[in-house]
Parts: sequence; C-alpha cells; structure tokens
Amino acid sequence: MLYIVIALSAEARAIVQMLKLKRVYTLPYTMFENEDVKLIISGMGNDNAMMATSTLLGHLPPCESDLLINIGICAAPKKYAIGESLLIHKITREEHSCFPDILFEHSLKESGLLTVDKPTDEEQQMPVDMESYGIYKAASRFLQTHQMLFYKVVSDHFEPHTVTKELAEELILANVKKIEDIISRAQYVMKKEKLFTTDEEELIQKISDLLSKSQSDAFVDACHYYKFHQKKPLHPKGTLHVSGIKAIDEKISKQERNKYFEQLIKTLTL
Amino acid sequence: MNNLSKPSHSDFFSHLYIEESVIDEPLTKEIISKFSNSKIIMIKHYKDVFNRPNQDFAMQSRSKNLILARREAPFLYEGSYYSDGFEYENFFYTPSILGCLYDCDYCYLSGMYNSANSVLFVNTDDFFEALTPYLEKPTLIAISYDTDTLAIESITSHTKIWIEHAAKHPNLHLEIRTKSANFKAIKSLTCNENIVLAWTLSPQKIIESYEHKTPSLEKRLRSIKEAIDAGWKVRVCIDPVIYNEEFHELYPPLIDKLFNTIEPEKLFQLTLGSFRMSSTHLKRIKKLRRSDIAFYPYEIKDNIVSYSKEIEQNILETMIERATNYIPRTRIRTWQLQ
Ligand code: SF4
Repeated sequence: MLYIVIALSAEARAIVQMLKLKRVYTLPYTMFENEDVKLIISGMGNDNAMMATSTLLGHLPPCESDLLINIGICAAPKKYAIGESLLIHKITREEHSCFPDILFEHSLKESGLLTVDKPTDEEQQMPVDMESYGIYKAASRFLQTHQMLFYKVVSDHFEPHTVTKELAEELILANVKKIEDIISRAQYVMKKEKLFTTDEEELIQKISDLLSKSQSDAFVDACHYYKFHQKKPLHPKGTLHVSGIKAIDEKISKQERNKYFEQLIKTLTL
Repeated sequence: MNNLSKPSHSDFFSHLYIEESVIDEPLTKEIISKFSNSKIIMIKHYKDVFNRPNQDFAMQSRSKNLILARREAPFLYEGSYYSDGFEYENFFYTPSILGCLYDCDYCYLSGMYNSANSVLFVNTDDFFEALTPYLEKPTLIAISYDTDTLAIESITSHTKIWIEHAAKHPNLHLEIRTKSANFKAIKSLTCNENIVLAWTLSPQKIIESYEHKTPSLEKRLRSIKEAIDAGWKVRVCIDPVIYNEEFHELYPPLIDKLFNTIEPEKLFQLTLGSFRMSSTHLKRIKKLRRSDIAFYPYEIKDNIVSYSKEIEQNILETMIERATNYIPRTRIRTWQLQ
C-alpha cells in the first residue's frame, strides 16, 4: 500500500488525477483511494498533519513493504529556485530533528527542512513547511525510517502572500512525473521476496497446531532454516522436492507428538 | 505505479552524518574531501541517527552510511567472554568505530545495533589518553572489535594511527582482526612484535553464502602471505566455523589451502572455533529473517547459543587433526564452551 499525506486539496489534485484515485468517505477527512493507494488531506499545520497521519495509519495499519509519502509545497532560501523539488533527509522542529532514510539513488536535490507553526516571511537557513515533522512523528509509530518520504516543491522565498491555491496546484502538477519516479524507486528497493508460499504457510500452520507452543516455535525456526539453507520448496505436494514433512490428521498422544516433533526438526535441519 | 528497475545506492556512504562538534576536526575534513558526492547532514549527537528506533538493518546494509562523531567516555571496554583475551591481565577493546562495512549474516553487530550504518569517532587522542594509565603493564587492545578497521582503512587511516601509537609504547599490544584483503594499506609501516594481524578465513562457499561484501578467500590469502612476508605476526582465525552437511568437504581443505599458500612455520597462531553467540543477539538476528544461520536448532547454555557438544567436538577434532599436519598443537588456539 502507498499512503499519501497532503496538506491541501489544491496540492493533491494532480496526484489524484495521476493515480486515478476515487473520493471515499471512510474517515472524517477528505480521502481518495484506489486498490494500492490511500491519500488523505490533512489540513495545514503540524498538529493536523500528525492527527491525520495517525488516523490513516491506525485505520489501515501498514506492513513492512508499504510506503508513506508526504507531498507538498515549502518556502525556501533563494538558493533554491521556485518550482525546484526537494527530497528531505532531516526534519527539524524547535530543538528536535528526525531523519528519514533515503536508501535509493535519485537525481533530486536533498535538503533538511524546518517545520514551523505559521507561514513565515522571515528568511530561514533552510526550506520550511508546516507539516513534515508531525507526519514523521505519527508515521514513525507504524513505519520504519526508510518507509517515509518527504517530497517538497519550493513555492516561494519566504513571501507567503505570493502563494495561492492555483500556484500550489501548478507546482505539484509540474512535478508529477518526478514524484511518480521517486515513489517507484523507493518501492523498488523495499521489495522483499516472501520466504514461504501460501501453501507452505498453510502447512506450517497445520503442523504448528499439533505442537506445543515451544515446539511450534522451534518448528517454525526449522522451516526457516530449511528454506534458507536448501532453497527448495517445503511443501511435499506437487513439487519436485519432497522435504518429507507432513501434517498428521489423527489425534496423537503426548509421547507420539514429541517423537513427531523430533522427526520434523531432524528432517528440516540435517 | 509502474515498477522501474532501479538499484539502491551503489556506493558506500551516500550520506555523511556529521556531529556539529567535529565538523572542524582534520579527520572530518579529510573524509568529507574523499566523499565529495555524499550528502552531508549535520547532527547534534550520533545517537540521534544511529540509535533511531525502527531502522531496517537489512535494508540499510545495502546502502550503508557513515556518521562522524566525538566519543565520550568510556573509551575502553573490558574484553568479552566470547573472545580470546590471550591471558593478558589488561585486555580491552576500543569502541572507536561502531559498525562494519561488511555484512556477515552471523555478525553479532546486527543483533546489537539498531543501525547498519557505521560511526567513526574522530577524537582518537581521547582514546589514547584513556589508555595511558594501563600502559605500565602489557595491555592488549582489540581495535577491530565492533568493526573491521582494515576494511575501512582507506577512509579512516584508523589502523595506521593505532599502529603508530603502539610503536611509541612498548607495553601496548594490538590485535587487529580483519576479513579484508587490505594489507597494502599498512604495508609501508614498520612491523611490530606487539601487534598481531588476525585474519578470519572461511571456505569460499561460506564466504559467498554468509559473508557479504567481504573479499574472496583467494584475496585474503594473498594479503596474509604479503603480511607474513613483510615480517608481521599473523594469526589466522577459522572462527566461526559454520556447521552444515558440507563441513567435511569445506573446512579441512581450507586448512590445506592455507598451508599451501603460506609457510606453516611462519604463521604465529591458528585459532579455531565454532559459531556461538549470545541468545539475546540471536533473537534479534532472527527478526532480520535473512539467513539459515539464525534458525539452526542450537543448544542454549548460560545465555549462549552454540552447536551441540558432539558437533562442536567433531568440528574441533577434525580441524585440529588436519591443522597438526602442518603446525604443532601448541600454536593452535581453540574456543569451546566450558
Ligand atoms: S567482518 Fe566482522 S564485524 Fe564486519 S560484518 Fe563481518 S563479522 Fe561483523
């Protein structure tokens, strides 16, 4: 699943179109989705962003291959051009900083970012937004450091009065291809092959149910050992390799169960 | 979303995290100049990055980053139960680098740290100062305990700095353990009787399966030979031995290969030991779900996991028998659970 958190509807419009998302009404937020994507409009500000992110991820808890991206505009010092897109590697609010991991190659400029409470016309040393810190804080309860991306497009040089809804929409629209590319790169490096097939998972479960808790833990470990070591299917049916493990249907005594368990471990780890 | 085939960062250290307090240190500047393409991220304290919760060790291992920091005391730790202190009254290891460029599936570091990144403490003089009171007596320091210093030598010059320090202090003994093939990095230094270069060897098949990013057996052997020929004291560690059904085909021939490459009488010592680890670390390594090593049905005793007594015995007896074809038993050290 791809989770997208965006502060304003104007910033979201181009993304909704690009991903062909449909409006949904499952949560008390403006939300869009398709089969693989959930997009939430958080509203402006750190607290709103934190709450919306918590609500979204709490409603549909992510797994280890999921990604969250925050897309939005930011103010920045003059060395950054208006319309330039940035990938954020450090987010600071007051005295605290957090560090999303960027573990893939890309051609965007990277930057630190300051999250503040109000739009500011005071020149700062680095790009500034109002949401990223809150999103990171909330999302880091659910996701690992490489599963969060912060994509910002420079909208102004600390002249908040120049930023209109139209400008925000235009800036994101001009970047949709780059945003799509960054998401693909992040998702590519996060891909993890499943160790067990669904058939194997079923077999493991069936056998585990016959064992005591500690035996079941040891058996699951042994299955891992077998798959990593032999690199062959575990499932005895319909495969070339037969590992020799199978579930037994009839009720067995404790003594028989212990013998059965020993045999399983031997088969899988020798 | 379309799926592009894009690799992760191909080079080490796409990002350098630098503590504000060390930005002006000469070593920091030198490292920055070597990594001109890396993004520099200023941090307050290395733990803000290194100790973050929810890092993915396996994922970070594919794209490791470097953190430059200032170490605060303690600068020395007493040698661990899992390693050999060689009967020195003072045996310490220095946590001057945390984390390793290599990526061995059985490494306890992956069970100990949240992060696969490395921390280099650039204030080496503070380590030396902490050591001074102990140097009245022979003192052994393992400088590559939580890392492989020679692997990262071209970036840090860390091994060189320690070897040069040892040259000035006759009671300072060093053990420099490595899987690298990087003897050339210290080749120009004068060899020192008090320093042991300890190379870990494994059969090539084991290297390929478990010791990711490390040099091949051939390359390590070449480096060992060079070091011995240059007059250095070299200990070869076939430790940890990873046991499986191919043990007899893989490990005894490794001993033959070693002694066909070097002259047996020139090897200072051979260390043999089978895989063992604290069960706490093993539990964490299991969570990474990367390798069969984490899932073998080990025996647990006193919070240490190891092979069964019979397997351990078999490993040691087989290896000792083969090794004594080349060197006397007195030059073979073994690690076995008591
Ligand atoms: S070389 Fe040593 S320290 Fe480095 S990963 Fe391998 S076992 Fe760990």
